[in-house]
Amino acid sequence: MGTVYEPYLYNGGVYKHGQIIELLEDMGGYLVSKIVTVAEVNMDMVVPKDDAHLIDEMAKRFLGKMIPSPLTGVEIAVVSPTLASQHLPHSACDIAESLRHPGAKTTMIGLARGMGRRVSLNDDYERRLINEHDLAVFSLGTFRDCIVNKKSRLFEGIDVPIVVTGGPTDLTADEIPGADVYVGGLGRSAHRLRNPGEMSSLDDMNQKVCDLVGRMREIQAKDPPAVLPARAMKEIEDQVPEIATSLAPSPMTLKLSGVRVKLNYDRYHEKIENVEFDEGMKLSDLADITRSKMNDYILVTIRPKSEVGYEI
Amino acid sequence: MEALEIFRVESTRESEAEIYRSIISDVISDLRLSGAIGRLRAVVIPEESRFALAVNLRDAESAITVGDTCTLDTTFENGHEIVRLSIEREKYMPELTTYLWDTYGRTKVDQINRWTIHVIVENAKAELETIRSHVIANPFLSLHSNMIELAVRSVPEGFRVRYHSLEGSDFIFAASEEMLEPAWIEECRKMAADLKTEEITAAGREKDKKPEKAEKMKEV
Repeated sequence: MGTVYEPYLYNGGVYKHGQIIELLEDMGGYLVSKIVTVAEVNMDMVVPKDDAHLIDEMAKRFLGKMIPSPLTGVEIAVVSPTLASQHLPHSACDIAESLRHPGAKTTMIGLARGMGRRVSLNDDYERRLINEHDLAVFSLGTFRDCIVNKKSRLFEGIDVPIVVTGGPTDLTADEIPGADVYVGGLGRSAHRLRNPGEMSSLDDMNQKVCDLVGRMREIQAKDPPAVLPARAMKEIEDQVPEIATSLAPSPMTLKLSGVRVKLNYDRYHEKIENVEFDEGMKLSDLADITRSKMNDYILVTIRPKSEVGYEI
Repeated sequence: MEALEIFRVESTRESEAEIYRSIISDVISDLRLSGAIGRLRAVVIPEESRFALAVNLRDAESAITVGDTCTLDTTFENGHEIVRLSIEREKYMPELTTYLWDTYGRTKVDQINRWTIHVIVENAKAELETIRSHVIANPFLSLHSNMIELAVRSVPEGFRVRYHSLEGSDFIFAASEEMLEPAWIEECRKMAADLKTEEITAAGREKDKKPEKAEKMKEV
C-alpha cells in the first residue's frame, strides 16, 4: 500500500524553519507553499501520515504549530453572477477569504451575463475556466425564488462539484437543480461578514466544503493519479528554474489531480513536458499538458493510474 | 419630521425583507443620509421583478452663497483695497477658498487666521456684492445625487430598467428587469404621499422594527 499523505499548515517563527523543511524532505513530504511575513512563516505542506508526529514534535520545540489544513492542494473557483456591488466585495470576497484559511487556493470569477433573473447565463469561456478548478462555489443572493428557479441556469455545463451560498437558511441542496451543497446565511450584504451569525455561516460553509473535498479524495483514492501532484510540482520547481521569475502570487497552484503552472504556455510548455522523474518517465507520459483558460498559463492534469497503467 | 421616523422594508418573505432592511440601512449609513431622510418605505417583490422606494426628505437647505457663510466688509491696509470675510459657518470653507483662489488668484487671497480671509481687489465696494452673492454650494443638488446613489446601491442586481424623481421633498424610485409600467410609478408616488400623511404611533414604531410581509402592490 502506498504512502498516505495529510495536508498541514506550519505556523511559526522564521528562526530555524529550514530544519522543518529538511525533515519534511527527509521523510518524503512536499512543501506546497511558503510565505514569510517579517519574522513569521506559514508553510503549506503535505506530510506522510505515519510520520506527521515527527514534524509536530519539532514544531513544538521551535514554538510553532502544525495545523491540519484540509483544503491544501485544492483550487476553488468562487463565482459571482457579476462583478457588481451587489456581490463584491461582500459577500463573495469574504467567502473566498474564509476558504483560504484551511489552505485552499481561490480564484474569483465574475460572470459577464449572470445578472438578474431574466439574463442569468454563462458563456463557453467561463464554463471552461470554472471547469479547470477542483470545485466551484457560487455566491448567490438573498431571494429564494431566484436561487431555486432562475440561477440554476448558471450551473449548466459545469462538470466540477457545485457549492451554492445564499441568504435563505431554510433551503436545501435538493431544491436547487444542479447544486451539490447549499450553505445559507451568506446572501447579499453591504458590510463585511463579521457578526457572530455570519461568522458561523462561514464556518459552516468551510466544514461542508471540507466534507465535500473529503468525499472527492475518497473517490480519487480508488483510482489515484499516476504521480502525486505534489511530487510533480516539486519536480517542475527543481527542473524549470524560470518558475522563480513568475510574478504571480503563487507561481504554481496545486490541484487535486494536477498543477497550474503560471508560466506562458507557448514559451514553456515543452520544458514542462520534458520534466523527468527518477523512474525514467517524462511528465508528458503521465499527464496532459494543456493551455489554461487563465492568462495562457500551463495546466498539468495528471492522468489516473488506470489510464497510464502504473503509478510512481 | 424626525430623522428616519419611519423605516419600513417589505418583501414577500419576512427573512428577505429583514436582509434588505439591513442592506438599505448600511447604504444610508455609508452615504451619511440618515439626517436627511424623514420617512422611507421600500417594497421588493422578486417574483414580479419589482422594486419600489419612496422617501420623504426632511427640509433640505437651498443654495448657499458666500454671504450665508460669513459676514463681509471692506477695509484699506498697506495701500490695498481689501474685502474682509469673517467666517461664521466653517463647513463650507473648502468651497469658499476654492472659489476665491480660482477667481482672484492665490496671491490676492490671504487667510489671516482660522476665521478671517482678506481678498485684495481693485474696487472693494463693487467686489463686495459680487462675492457676497456668489453661490458656492448647493446641498439640495448633492442630496439629490446621493438619493439616486442610495436607490442604485439598494436595488437588486439585474433590475436595470429604472425611474427616479425628486419632487419637493418626495423622492421615488422604481426599478425592474422588464418594461416599467406607468402604473408602477404612480404606485410609488402614492406610496410617498401615504407615507407623508401616515400617523406615527408607538405600535407603528415597533412594527417598523420588524419587517412585515409585503402587501403586494396593486396589479396594473
